[in-house]
Amino acid sequence: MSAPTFSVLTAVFDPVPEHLASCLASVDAQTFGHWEHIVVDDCSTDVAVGHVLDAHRDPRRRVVRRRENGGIVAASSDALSAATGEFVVLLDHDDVLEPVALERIVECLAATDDPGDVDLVYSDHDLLRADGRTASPVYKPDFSPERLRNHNYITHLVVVRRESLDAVGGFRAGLDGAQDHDVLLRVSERSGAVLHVPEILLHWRQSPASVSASTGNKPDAYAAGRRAVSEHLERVGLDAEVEPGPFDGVYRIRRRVSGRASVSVIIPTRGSRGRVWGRTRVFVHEAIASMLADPARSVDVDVVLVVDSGSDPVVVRGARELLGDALTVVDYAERFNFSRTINQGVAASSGEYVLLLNDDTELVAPGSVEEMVRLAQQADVGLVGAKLLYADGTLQHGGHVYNDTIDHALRGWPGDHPGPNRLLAVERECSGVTAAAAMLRRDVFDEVGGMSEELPVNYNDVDLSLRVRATGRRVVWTPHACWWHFEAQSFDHPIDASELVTIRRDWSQELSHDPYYNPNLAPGRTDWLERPGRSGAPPYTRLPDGRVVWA
Amino acid sequence: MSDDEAELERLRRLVGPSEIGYRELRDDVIAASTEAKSAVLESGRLRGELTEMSVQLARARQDQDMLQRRRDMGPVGYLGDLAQEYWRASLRPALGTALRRLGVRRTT
Repeated sequence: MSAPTFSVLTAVFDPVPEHLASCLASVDAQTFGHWEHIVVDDCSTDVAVGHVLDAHRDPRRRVVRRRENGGIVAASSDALSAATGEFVVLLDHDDVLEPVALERIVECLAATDDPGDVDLVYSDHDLLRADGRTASPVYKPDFSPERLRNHNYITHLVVVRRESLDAVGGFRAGLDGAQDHDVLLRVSERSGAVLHVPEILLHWRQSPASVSASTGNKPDAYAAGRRAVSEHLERVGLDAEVEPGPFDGVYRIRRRVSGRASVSVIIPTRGSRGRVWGRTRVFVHEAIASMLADPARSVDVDVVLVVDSGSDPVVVRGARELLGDALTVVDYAERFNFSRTINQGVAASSGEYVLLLNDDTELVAPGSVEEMVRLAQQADVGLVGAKLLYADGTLQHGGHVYNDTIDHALRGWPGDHPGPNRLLAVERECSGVTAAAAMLRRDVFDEVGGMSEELPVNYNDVDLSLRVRATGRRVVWTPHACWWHFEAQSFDHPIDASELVTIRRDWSQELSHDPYYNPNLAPGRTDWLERPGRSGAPPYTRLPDGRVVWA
Repeated sequence: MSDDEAELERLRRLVGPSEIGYRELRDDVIAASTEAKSAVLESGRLRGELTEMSVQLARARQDQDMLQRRRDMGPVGYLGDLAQEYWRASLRPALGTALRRLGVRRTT
């Protein structure tokens, strides 16, 4: 592969001159030399801007001066027109590139089997504070298309193949402030690869007017973002409305169910009773009753109870009173094997979708079953997980993380917490989800061969998730489908060592590298704690006089 | 049906002959459960905050440790530290890629 060429595009309008100088200097300092820098001055009113541009003359830098101010989209389009590189690098006028930024992109391209197939590369970034310190690193997952619909989790640094950007129409007028999100969505719709460099290659300036300083700074940008997401959904054939989400820059996608979906809820049960919120309940009855009482329920639901032999007859009788003909009972007389109970339940069901549900649950969010159906109706989505809360309202399940450990993301955090970089407030891809509340299409369940009976108690959902992903389908978690899960927080499942051996034997690589986590985060944890030295703490500097300072 | 009647009799024995007394008792149970739920959720809110803060504390502690370690190790040690970091972040992945291309290591 010959070395790629880069066109760095920067639209300039009245930045703080020193910030612009830092930006230009960071391009000049690139360790990889095959670049050109197209700077479009969008009619800046500050004469100092012109002086800075004059002071940073370089044969590889071209300055285009617009006659009138046209906004970020017009200026970026002018820059794109002037670009000649194979890839374009989007760089704001006050942001700073790491010296190795382009070199790392080249290395990333070289490491792929088919660099010519790559449409988009992005990296991690951090914030450049007013005092010049870098802080708040944002360590991102590998490409996560569902999440990108929900919010622009990528933001910076973005490198796009020029040909691909041209093919999707470049920067679109009328989307000022969300033009980058729009570009990411449209380029990602193409069939090419999207790569992630898990390293901070850009420092995003936290200027007072920037979105990086306050998300309330650009309300118009979020309206434009909604439009960009809405049009993206239309292009990819998803029937949905886009509404503002609970946070600026987060969008709530309300899909419509296609056709008349039928859902079979598979609930293995021993008819256990327990005390929750001061009252004793038969868990499975409350699980069923809460779904039946859902005012937003619009899909056909039937329930398959897989009942352990020897369970109290009142369990089936109560379920029958609640469900009538919509109940199917499977007697399970064998030694306990969760996977087998699920497989037998699915075999006895008739729904187009199967919802695997633990009996110790209770519906929280109305319309949860529909939310999961809507996601499962996407052909490339194989498994959908839900948000689960412990009885005390803390988070039990926010998706799995396989990071030299197998656990739930951010377990024990406040149930309404948006999570680092809003990850608990958005629909997003995960490596896996728990089978305590998970939905998949029957054809997917059959294709992957159901749940592995080699894993009778633990990790069967991990195995199911990884087998679904191995078919090329995505596993998606949604915060908009939510159940209480009355699993004891302190209860440690008895783990048969053979189950751990089995899951590690089958999925060793997948369990040590989670594409939706980040190698900069500490191994063995699932709470987004960074490795030492990567949390944004100031770097070490020793002055010539021997004093140590933290920059 | 006979089970229900037996249950009704049992409850009547508990609260006396008045149906109103039974309804009041039921309302009391519901109110008590609501209170219990609020209390459990409040403890959960605190537990959640504690969990989040423990991550922040772990972050602060490891930052402090790293900064102290770097200060103590002096410039030579610091350069060694940087070299180790360069090995981890750049050389080792590059080596891994090369081995993968040569078919020595399994691809994901």
